[in-house]
Amino acid sequence: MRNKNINILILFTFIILGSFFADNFIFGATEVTGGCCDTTIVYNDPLPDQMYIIGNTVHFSGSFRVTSCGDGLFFNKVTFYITEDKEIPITNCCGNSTKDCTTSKSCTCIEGCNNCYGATSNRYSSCNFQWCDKVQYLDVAKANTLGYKVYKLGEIYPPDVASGSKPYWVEYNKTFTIPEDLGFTGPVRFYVQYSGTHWGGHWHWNIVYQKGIINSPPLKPEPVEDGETWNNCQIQGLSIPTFQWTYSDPDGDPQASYEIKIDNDSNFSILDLFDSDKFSRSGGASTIFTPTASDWKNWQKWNTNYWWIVRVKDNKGTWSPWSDPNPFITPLHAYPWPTFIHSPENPAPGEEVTFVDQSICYDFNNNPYSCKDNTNTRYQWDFDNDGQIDCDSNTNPSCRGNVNYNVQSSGNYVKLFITDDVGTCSSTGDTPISTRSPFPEWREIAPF
Amino acid sequence: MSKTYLSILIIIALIVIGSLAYSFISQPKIGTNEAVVIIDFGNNKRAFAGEVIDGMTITDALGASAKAGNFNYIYQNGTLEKVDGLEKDGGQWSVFINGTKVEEPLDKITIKPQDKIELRFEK
Repeated sequence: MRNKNINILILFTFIILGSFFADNFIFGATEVTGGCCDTTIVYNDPLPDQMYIIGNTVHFSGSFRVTSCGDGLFFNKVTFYITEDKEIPITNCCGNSTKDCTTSKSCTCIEGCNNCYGATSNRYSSCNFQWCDKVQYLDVAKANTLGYKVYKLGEIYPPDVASGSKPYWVEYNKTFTIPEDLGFTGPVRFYVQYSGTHWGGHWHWNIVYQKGIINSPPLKPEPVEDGETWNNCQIQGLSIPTFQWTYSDPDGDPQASYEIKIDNDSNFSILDLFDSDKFSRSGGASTIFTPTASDWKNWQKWNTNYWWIVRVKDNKGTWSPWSDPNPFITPLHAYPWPTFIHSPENPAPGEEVTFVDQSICYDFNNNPYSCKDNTNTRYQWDFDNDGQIDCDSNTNPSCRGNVNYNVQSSGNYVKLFITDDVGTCSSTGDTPISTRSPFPEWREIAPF
Repeated sequence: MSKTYLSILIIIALIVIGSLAYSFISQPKIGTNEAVVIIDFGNNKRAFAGEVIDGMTITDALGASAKAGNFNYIYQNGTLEKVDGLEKDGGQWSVFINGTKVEEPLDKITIKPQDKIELRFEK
């Protein structure tokens, strides 16, 4: 009993599937019109919601047949379009946009009735059959007046199908390249338009479309200003660049990710296989990249020419071209690292405090040394952090190294600027200074 | 007892009293609420005295002494690096309080009246 039920279920499934495939199969596609004597369409490709970019190929495949009026199709013509995702108006050669199967040849148009819509048949010399004036097609002129963009990819003229085993199908299998001058992107429709005659009786037609997406890649990124900014003073012994680029996408899609490469030559081609020392990183939606300190310290060399390129991907997965190589040069060596401590730690207001210089500078080999040992190194002390330099080694050499200052109040910041041959960095050392309540005055006595 | 012996005894007594009096007079006068800092530079000494207040540490006493004596000192990382130009690179500054060597950071040790803090520069 149970097996019987299963068999019935399987049979039922096959019937459903069979009828589905045997009948009008337009998986995901939309039939705009099936003509006066219904024309069956099997729409295989493109699949629904496929995404393409300009330059991709789009494959159309499927077939047409007469459903209710017997087999045999002549004067076959299939036309392919990409349009914006709009309701493209349809018309016929008499200018009607609705199906009218009750009259026959109410008008006789040259293109359809006399010229067979440009198609031919080996069997018939004339095509001036019933409904030749009713054959419907996309009204491109009207679409244009509505501002709807339509691009005709091409047309084919399949031969007569009226021999061999039945049923007869007019098949199409055609590939087109999405052209550079398409003129629009985003959601689109892939229209397939068929016309042909059933024996010598009457005309058939069908218009169907599948939805898809033409995605524009993001534009080639451009460096912002110089392309990179430097942080020379935040990490001791290291200058870290930040790379910044523009992002623009014709479709308005946001950036989803990026890939950046840095190398000591401007050849980033894929043929540059032997250069394994590139610095390559990827990231997300940011248009700024700063390497980590450890990464950069391990990879970069001082006083070296480098180039960087970047490409970006939109949220539909389409990459932009790589940017042009943008050059930059690393500093001669690390910037000065000013630092100092003060003593006593908690002076009384007005008490003299010694600021003990512990600053480190770097030579051309990037070896560290005490900044005060180099007389070319400039020290500038701002004892009350008011932006005014209070002690400058250019005018007072004793400002190079340890200095003394009478601290007046708690919270006093002291700022030290050190300038060497590559640049200037500053530090507030271990300040602010916390002063304590004044101690009683002591006196000097005779030693004992 | 002859006059001679009596005279000698008086002289001795005067000498003893005089030396005691000199000793008393030559001692610096330290108040009951005061402490002393003695800095031994090796070839000379300087001493300072002053009132002790609650929470005052050895470094505070040193600071008060530096102000009174117009000298600088550098105390960092728990170490007395330099006093009046004399750096520890040429020797070492040791600190004693009431004769006992201080091993802890100077800014952690509070002093009390009558304490005697001694800084010795030892090569």
